[in-house]
Amino acid sequence: MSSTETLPRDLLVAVDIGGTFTDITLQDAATGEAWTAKTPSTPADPSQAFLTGVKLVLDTAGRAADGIGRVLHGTTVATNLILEGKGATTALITTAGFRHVLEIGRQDIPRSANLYSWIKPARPVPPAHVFEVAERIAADGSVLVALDEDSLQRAIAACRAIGVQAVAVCLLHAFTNPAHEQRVAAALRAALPDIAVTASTEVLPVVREYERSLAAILNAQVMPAVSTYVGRLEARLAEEKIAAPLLLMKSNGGVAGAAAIRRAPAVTALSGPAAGVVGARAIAAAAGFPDIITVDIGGTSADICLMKSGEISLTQKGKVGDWPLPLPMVDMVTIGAGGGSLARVTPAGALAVGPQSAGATPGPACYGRGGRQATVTDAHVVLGHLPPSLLGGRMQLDVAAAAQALEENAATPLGLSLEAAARGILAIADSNMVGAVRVVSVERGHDPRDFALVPFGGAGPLHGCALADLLGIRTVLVPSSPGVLCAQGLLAADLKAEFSRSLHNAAAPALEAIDAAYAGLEAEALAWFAEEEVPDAARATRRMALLRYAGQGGELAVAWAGDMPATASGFAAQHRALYGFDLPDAAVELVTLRLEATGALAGRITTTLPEGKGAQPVGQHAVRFPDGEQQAALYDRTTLGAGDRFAGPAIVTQLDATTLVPPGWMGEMHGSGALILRRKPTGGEDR
Amino acid sequence: MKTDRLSLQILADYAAAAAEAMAYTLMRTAHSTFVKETEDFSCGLLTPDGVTFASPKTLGATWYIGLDYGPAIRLIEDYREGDVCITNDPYSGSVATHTPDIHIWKPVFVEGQLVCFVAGHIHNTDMGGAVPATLSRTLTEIQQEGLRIPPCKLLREGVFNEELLRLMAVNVRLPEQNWGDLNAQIASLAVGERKVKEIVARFGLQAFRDGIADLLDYAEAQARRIVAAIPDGDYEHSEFADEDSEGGPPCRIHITLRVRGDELVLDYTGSDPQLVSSLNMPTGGRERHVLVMVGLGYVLYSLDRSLTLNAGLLRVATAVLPVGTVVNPLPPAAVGMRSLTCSVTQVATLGVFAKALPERMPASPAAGMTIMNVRTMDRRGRPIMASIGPVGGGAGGEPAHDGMDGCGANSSFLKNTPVEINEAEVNVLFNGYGLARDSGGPGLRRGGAAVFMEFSVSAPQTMITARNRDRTRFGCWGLRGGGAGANSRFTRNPDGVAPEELGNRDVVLCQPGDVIRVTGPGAGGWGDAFARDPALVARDVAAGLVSEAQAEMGYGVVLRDGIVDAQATAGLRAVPRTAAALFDYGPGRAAFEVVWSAERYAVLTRLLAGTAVTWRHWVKKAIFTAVEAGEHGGASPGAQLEAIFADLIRRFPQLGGVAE
Repeated sequence: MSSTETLPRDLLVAVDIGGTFTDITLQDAATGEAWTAKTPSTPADPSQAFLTGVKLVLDTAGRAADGIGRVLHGTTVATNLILEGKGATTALITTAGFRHVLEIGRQDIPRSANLYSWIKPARPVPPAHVFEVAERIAADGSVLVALDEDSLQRAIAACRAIGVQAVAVCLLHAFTNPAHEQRVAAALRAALPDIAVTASTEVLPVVREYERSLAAILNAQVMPAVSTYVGRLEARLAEEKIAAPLLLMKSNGGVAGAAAIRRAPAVTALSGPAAGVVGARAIAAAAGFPDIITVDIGGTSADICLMKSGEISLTQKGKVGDWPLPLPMVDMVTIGAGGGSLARVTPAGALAVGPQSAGATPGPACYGRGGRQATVTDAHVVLGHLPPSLLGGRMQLDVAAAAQALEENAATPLGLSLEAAARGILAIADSNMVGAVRVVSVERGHDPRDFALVPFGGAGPLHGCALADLLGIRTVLVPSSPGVLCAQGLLAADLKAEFSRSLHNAAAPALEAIDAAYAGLEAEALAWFAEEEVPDAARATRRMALLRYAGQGGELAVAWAGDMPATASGFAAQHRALYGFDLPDAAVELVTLRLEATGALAGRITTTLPEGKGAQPVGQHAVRFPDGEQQAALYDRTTLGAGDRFAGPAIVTQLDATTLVPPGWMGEMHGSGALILRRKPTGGEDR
Repeated sequence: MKTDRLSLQILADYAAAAAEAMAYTLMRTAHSTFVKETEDFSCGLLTPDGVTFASPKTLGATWYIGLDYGPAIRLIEDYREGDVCITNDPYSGSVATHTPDIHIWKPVFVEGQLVCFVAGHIHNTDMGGAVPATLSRTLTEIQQEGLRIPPCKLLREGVFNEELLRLMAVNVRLPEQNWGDLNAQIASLAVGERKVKEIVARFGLQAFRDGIADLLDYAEAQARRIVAAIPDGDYEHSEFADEDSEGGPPCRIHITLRVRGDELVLDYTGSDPQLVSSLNMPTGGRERHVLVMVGLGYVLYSLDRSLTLNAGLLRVATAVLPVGTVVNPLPPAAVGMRSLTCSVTQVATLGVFAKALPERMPASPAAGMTIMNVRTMDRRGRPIMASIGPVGGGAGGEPAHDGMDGCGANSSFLKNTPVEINEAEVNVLFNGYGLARDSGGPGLRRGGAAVFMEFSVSAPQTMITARNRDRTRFGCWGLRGGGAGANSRFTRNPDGVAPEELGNRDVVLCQPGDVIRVTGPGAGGWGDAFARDPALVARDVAAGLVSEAQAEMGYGVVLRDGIVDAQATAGLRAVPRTAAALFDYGPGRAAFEVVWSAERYAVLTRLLAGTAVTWRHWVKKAIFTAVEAGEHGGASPGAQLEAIFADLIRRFPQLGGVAE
């Protein structure tokens, strides 16, 4: 999906704000030329580093601000506010008789904590801030009790009295008939103009009152801060006479304009790992690999995602911290295993890795910032996977500190050699990640061996080949900048939105009714295209249907095939692939209609790597492999050109990541800039 | 241990992931509401002997950690690749514990050798029998509880046993649902089988076998360390269900905990006789049967969260289960409502450990979670039968914090069903769903508030089934000065002209316009409520969890327009009060125990043990009636019971016949 239309202003700028550094990428969409810049982040006011970075990269490229056609940005403002519980003070208005729905939740507690002394996470709105209005809509959307104006005025007065900064509204069955909710929201906006208001159906018009209440609350709660933040960015851009639209990353892997994000900031709450996945897809597509499994390994966690035919699937089972947030997000599995994950010996004498992490401070022991506990990164250092000099010599690793941390926290308590302890830590981290890869592949009817593995994130390329070996995967694709793939993802993202309608009450809707519902969704999409100023040629929509066998608890999303029988047969095929059976005699229910709308953003060209002159090692480094110590050739990635090949054992270094190529693997630079690692054929023993 | 610790951890991860994948498949594909919304199912990996060594970490019911399929597995002659076996019979194999739980298991072969079993169960909505949804307290024999399938093959080498399927289909009320659920279970086992094969391929056959044994040993070693820290001694505790049958006297579960070093005995002697109702727990007398060990698993895990959860941890304990009692009934005792009794045993276990470790244990959680089922008609007159969710309560207060409101503690693996789903799928209209004011027991740490549900019925001849009704008479105890929680209530037309208290009724026939309100029990408080921070009491009042009246009476806190009146509060709190006992059982139980003291129960237990099993429940009721009527009232408690019993033998000489 791409447009031939060219923008008058060809420069795209992507800004990724991290905890320590802000990374900026500038790309000329006409030529494919790209520039990057790095500037220290300014946590007190991130827009400061944002602007500094944009100016810096323009200077580096020697280009003018008025050439910028788009500014792309991923923000974790909403995510962090929710995780830290620091959103605006919020009230909830709900249907009389149901004020404690939020407090009860789904009533169950996490299985891993299923005991007498489990502590329920404090709800984002305490029960004393939940106010009821007298009204009632039935499951079929009919009005049983008209909205009582007196109770509405009392609720508004109560919100005013406690001085909230935001109000969420969630009324029973509003997803079927939003009239009362809209009336309450309008009255709130009129009476309390300075307060953020979210009606549940504005963010998540689907069945299940607890989850919908939460979505409305979380949205309302982050709205003031996100709005301020976005406003500040826009003001900074205006200061620099940059008139280009500001587009922000959403959890679904697409971007949206600032206005849409201000209305529904909750759509950014699960966007953190999305940009990397989109970037990985672009990198893999350029290298000719449509079927990939991405493993994004950061400091504290790893995100695993599977893409078949370049398709990023969405899920609505996402969570932010303790809270379910059923907004469409890139379907991935996140586990608590990263480079900073701590290794420890449990009181019962078993070795465990994560989910606790050394974080940015003190970080792994080898960083020499006072960390004394053993991390996954320290295990790599001990085995020689990481050469002692990082970031082009800007950072020296403290090998002795790493060894001491492992000795004290793992080897000695377990009575193991240092090497065995290091290998054990990595084995546990790898086995956790393999488990997550299986969840996204085998458990969903895919054989991981049919996919290429794309490891990224600072620690990803260290684990790529080991994970591939465990999974029987023969190809590993290392992106050109694995540590800063998010910026590339931003540049590669399209405008995306989903529009859904719950059909929960219609047992067997007529085809005309379904078509009418889709037409309604398409009208919503049209309005959205217009708001985002998507040119006609760049607009695309896709009708999806969420189906289940009558009475089942879970639905599957399949493409709408024009009528129920054809769609149902697609569903049966997918059910068979996923679960090994289908039920030809059982009724198939259509639960939700979904329209996926995409506005293709024009003009992306991946870089072309110059032809190589043959890979030349810049040195060598001793690595302890399971079969014994070997000298690994050290390659500087910046010196490698297209077609350059080398054999493992090797270590490829670059500013943002280090790639470990074990014996038995071959490396080859692809013209698109990706490094392709292939398992040498060994007679099929690794099947 | 043959497996090094690194490999053991990895094997444990893989095995748990396999069980988790099985559970995921089950959740996604099952039809029963019990599975998809309330997660009433289990699945796991079993040793070739049938002992569970891996369970899902995040899905499913948590009772079944130590489930032992061994006796059922051994009832099948031979196993071949592709076989799947099935049972739901509580009296053959001691795996199924009531008929709606269909358990199936499948052998996993690698290189022609049996390496383990994969297994699981689903609570099916209906298995036929005398009442819709199969279960009712009023049933008196297992034959009324639907179709029973003794262990047999559901698939032979991958081919369905069609005769069995036809037999099932004609005996149940919703055959399509059961068929869908059965397919979901088989799919789940196929996932488990595939995962086990992957694990064996990765670790090697011998290492896998050693690893399984080591995993069980490892959990056992952890459990032994926890138990060793509990002071040696004998501790006793009784817990009661309100009624042992419809309108009957209370049902007693009594545990004597004997702690010796790193071993425990849970002696259930003193528990009620086998009952002519469906409250019996079919354990087959097995000394580590899961039903009598659930509470122990919870307690040990509470004491150490790093505990590995598998059957190995149960090796530290044995249970003494006298035959012919409610904890070890003989056929044809009905067993459908064993979950109610199991819930009582869990609180009894918690209580007996609270006596051993009073500083570390919480007050009683809201034991007794009612499962509400509705059978009605939709607008077109078509029948609907569905669970509309559990109505329970919260957790007990504990040393560090308040009990959780509306959820927490031992029965919270059940999810509720959203009101919007219930109203769309079932023809009822909810007036309210929330937390009940003044239900949590007062305390320094307040007991968790109970859940209430109120709905009106829209069609004639609507049958409301309220499973597991309990705690309308005996509240949930408070600990170390904390008060007991409020009792559960079940009312028809609570705000009408003639409200009807339904007590512990489990089947109620309703007509259009009838309003049903059910409120779960409140959990017990922990510590002195008069020492609770008044600001917290004010917060609870604003949250709708405590009334101003209870703030004064229960906490000694006076509020004016929601603000604490410090002076009036200080005045109330200065009034001297009597010192509290370790347990506050609430007024219902206190009144009961004035008559039915430990002394009377000791004599009753001895007398009943000497009678034939088939007579015991009758004799128990007869003695209760006689005591209530004041017969031989002048004698000492023990002598009174002896005299009443002697009267009974004179009237019914057979009673003194042969004891089992």
